[in-house]
Amino acid sequence: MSQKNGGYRDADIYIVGLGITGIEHMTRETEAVCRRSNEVLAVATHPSILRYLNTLCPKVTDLYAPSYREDEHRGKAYDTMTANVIAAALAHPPVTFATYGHPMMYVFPSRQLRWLAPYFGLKVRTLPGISSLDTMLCDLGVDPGAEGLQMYEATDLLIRQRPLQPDVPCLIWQVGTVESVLFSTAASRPERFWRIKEYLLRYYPADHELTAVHSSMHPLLEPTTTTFRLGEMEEHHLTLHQGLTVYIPPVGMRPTADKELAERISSVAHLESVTQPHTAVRR
Amino acid sequence: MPMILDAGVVMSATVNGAMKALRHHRHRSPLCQEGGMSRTAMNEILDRSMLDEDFRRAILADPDGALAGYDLTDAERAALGSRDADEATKLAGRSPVAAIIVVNISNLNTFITSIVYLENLIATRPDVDERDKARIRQRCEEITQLDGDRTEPIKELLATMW
Repeated sequence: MSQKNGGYRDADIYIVGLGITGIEHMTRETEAVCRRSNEVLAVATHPSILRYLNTLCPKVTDLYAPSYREDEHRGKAYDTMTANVIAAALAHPPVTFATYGHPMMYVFPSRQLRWLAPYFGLKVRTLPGISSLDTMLCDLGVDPGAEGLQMYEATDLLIRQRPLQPDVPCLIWQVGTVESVLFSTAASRPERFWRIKEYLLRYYPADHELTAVHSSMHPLLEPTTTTFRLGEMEEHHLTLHQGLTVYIPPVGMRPTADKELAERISSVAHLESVTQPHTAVRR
Repeated sequence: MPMILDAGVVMSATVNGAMKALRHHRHRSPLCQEGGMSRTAMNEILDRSMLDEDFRRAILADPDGALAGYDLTDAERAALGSRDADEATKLAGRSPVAAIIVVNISNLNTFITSIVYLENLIATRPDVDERDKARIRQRCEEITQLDGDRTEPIKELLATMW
């Protein structure tokens, strides 16, 4: 296989994100490494994205079709993706593993590739992409700078009984697949949401309003949001599909605990006490 | 109203149910038959609007004008023009997810591919100890020496680690 860029390459495997709504979410950096690659192996949300990747790289492989099997552990699908990428990188480096969203945002194959590739002597470089967290912050109008942000995967939240802070905005991912790691296209029963509702009720009142959000996957569509009371969560079992993330707004604001520091943060004298003189910085 | 909606496909009101229903009705509904005019038009619009910004802007600015040359049902035309998931939901008569289905309704492959996004990827693998690492390293060296496609040996190696 010919070497691109005059034989120079800084990685054998590039791991990139394709964004959420389509090619406009792809970064120039991502496009550049796709051009540099001898093969792009992709998990895309739309066939036209694969075709667009084909304009950047002559060999594009769709990883979705050979990877998923009904009722099979999702881990097997990830193993198939990982194995295909490693095999391609051994055969004709460099290659790109491209997934929708951000490659390090709920994408196990990316983590597995980073872990396994060095055993084969392969160098990996990971590039950022626009994640569904990014799009959801826009869809919801939430800025983590104001009150912070906590986020958990739904099943992990229950298994580890992770404590929640009700005064901090919260995102619960993969509510629609809670309580199972098996890949399934079957609709959920109300019972699926009993346990997570009971867990959330430890921290939030039953009439607290939650919003299920699903960012747009196509530039012609708007995002969808559904708001419901926590106490009625299981009634929305048909709405809570696999792609939704549930946003839980904070219950009130945490009061100031360190009043002395709160008074000092606008003080020039305090700033000077924690910074070096400008002359010292120049040196 | 497209026949597929009349047939109650989206009444399952979930992505999962609708996907199964779409599979089922693909062989029954004229709308979803391979090569049907509406399906061809929707495919072209979906693909073109993903890749062609000018076309997308034209749809957003003047949906009737931009889509005039396409053989679409009224519901498809309305869903594409409005961008409004709730409106599309009303058309479908059911869940917000129906909005996606309405737009992709004539393109089963597109819709199924979209499902990938709906299944965010997460898993955790148990930690490996030093002895495991030595075994993995040795097996990786062996696989590297193999001729031909190494995909299956790598999958087998990974399977031993779950």
